[in-house]
Amino acid sequence: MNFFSITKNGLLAIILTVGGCSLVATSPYDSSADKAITKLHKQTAEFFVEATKPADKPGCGYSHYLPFYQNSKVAISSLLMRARSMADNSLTVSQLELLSSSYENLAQLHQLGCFTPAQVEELWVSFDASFSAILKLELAKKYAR
Amino acid sequence: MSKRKKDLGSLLLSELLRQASSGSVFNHHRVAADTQYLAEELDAINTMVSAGELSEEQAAIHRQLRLNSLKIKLLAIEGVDSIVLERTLDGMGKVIRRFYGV
Repeated sequence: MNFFSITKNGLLAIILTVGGCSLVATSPYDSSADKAITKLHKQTAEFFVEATKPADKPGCGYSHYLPFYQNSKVAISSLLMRARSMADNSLTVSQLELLSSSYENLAQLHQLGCFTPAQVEELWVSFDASFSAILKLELAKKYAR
Repeated sequence: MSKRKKDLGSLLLSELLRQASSGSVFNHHRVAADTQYLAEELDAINTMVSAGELSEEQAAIHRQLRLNSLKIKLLAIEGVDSIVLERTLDGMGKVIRRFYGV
């Protein structure tokens, strides 16, 4: 067995391995979605900065932040509609549906009471990671190709 | 003919290695790291419940948020892997086309 037969067998093994992976077709990069996601990320960051005020202070409740929840719902709804209209975009659509669910969870949590600083920190880490992952996929459509 | 096949095999292998070195083709280690992180976060939520900082109802919502976040990360890994694989297969296709002068 010489070097080339090893190379050939190795190559065959690699191709079979790669072929075994599921190849999901992905849509092209969407600059409008990129900008809208970045804008929503900024709005959410501002919300969490504002929400770090002490829980016993007035204006920490859900009703005070109603415009944020309404704006977020509208923004995510527009993003989802755009993402669904693009072919081969199922992964981004699933990501946005989960993000939409996270905003609903955030609203439910806020309705139960004001956030403590520890809660805000945990929540922000979770949302920041979600936004990073969504942007990572969107930017990979542009730069990884 | 046999020499040509060997040359093509070597070219394809070098293209595959070039693609693999330019980006991570396989990301299983990242999935493991994210899963480990989720376990730590769920543990932190349980600690907050034990300390009386969170009610069970609040904790359930916090857990759901962490799970959503992990699912979003896993979808990103799947998508990026697909794009990298697509690029790798494109690169190998170009090598074959160049080799046969198509």
